[in-house]
Amino acid sequence: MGIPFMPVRGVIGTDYPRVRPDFKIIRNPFGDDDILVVPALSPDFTIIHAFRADKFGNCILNSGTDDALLAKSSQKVIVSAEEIVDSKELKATQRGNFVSRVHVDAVVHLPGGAYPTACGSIYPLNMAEMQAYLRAAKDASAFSTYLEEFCRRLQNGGDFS
Amino acid sequence: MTDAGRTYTTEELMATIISREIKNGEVVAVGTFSPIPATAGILAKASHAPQSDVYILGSKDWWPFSEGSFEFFHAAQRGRFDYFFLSGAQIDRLGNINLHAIGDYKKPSVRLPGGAGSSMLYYMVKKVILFKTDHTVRTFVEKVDFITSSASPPPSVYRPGGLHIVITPLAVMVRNSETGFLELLSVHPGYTPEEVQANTGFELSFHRGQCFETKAPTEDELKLLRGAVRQEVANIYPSFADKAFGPKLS
Repeated sequence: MGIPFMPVRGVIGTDYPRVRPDFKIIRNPFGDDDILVVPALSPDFTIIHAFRADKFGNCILNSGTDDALLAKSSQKVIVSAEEIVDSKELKATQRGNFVSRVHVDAVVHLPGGAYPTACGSIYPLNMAEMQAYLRAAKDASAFSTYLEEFCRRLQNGGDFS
Repeated sequence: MTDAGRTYTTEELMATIISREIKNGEVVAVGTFSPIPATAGILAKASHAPQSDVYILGSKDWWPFSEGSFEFFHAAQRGRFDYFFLSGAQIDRLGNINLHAIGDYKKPSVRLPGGAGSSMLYYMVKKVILFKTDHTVRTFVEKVDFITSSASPPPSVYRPGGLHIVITPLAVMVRNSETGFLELLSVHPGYTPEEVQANTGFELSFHRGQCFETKAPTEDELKLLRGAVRQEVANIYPSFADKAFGPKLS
């Protein structure tokens, strides 16, 4: 949105202001109540995975997620996509949320890029893989072994479903 | 779990209590990890509230928002929801909830996941139901270690909504609007007010001087719960659906 802060309802009367000095309570300039304002978040990079994209960065994202919002708030946006299609075909796509190339800096063709989480109806979350990840993530050396094995498996044309 | 002589599970009882609160046409929103409220919303819609809208986060079929959580939170800030459901690692006498830390915030004995939208939702949703799947002196405390969201904020903040009732495996509590304190509204069948008090870390008065017995789920409610409702719930919370419902009634 390009604005420095956002008002948020509620929160006043909780312990958030005590541990978050960057949250400020101001008088509502257009009303007669107090309101919390929070600083804008603007990540350096956002990497989001799309169902499909064209070579200009226009893309179709899973609806119901905050990915489009993230894209619109970040300094640099990289889109990975299950498939790259031409612009006409992209515009005709019925499902998902359209995000314009205006917000996108780079596009990568990356089938399976959401794995082991789900990618809409293209492939579901892989629960066994998630559990293996959770077990490995408890320990640094177990995790690096897991990561190597995971990458090798996918480089060798792993199955994403 | 099913105690000897009891014909329903604790989850079925809690879902039934919540379901009965929902009036036809009211809008019910259910957040993360809330299988009991989700069950209640589906039950209400399948029985006395067919025109209610029920939104369940994490379910494609029950989540009509296309732009993600910020669309949901903005709808909440606009006052679009009649019901939302919160819980806490601790709940205190004033209805404050703690989802941040047990002990000192900077050196906690347990670090909790945080409040997500609860510090706004508790103020902006018309009727917030607190639910807790355990009822002990550790969870119901005189004062929470960290106020993630408040049932008693200062009057200078806009707050059209707030606490409706608190539901646990033992009892239903409600806030006294004058003192702000939680009080006992009803005790579930099989428990006594003394048992509830012994498991609560603050003094519990009877609301308006009286304590009722919670009405157990009826046979019609249990039939619905174990039939169509269970099937819907299993699509969203499969492992919950496996253990929360009793055997199917003919």
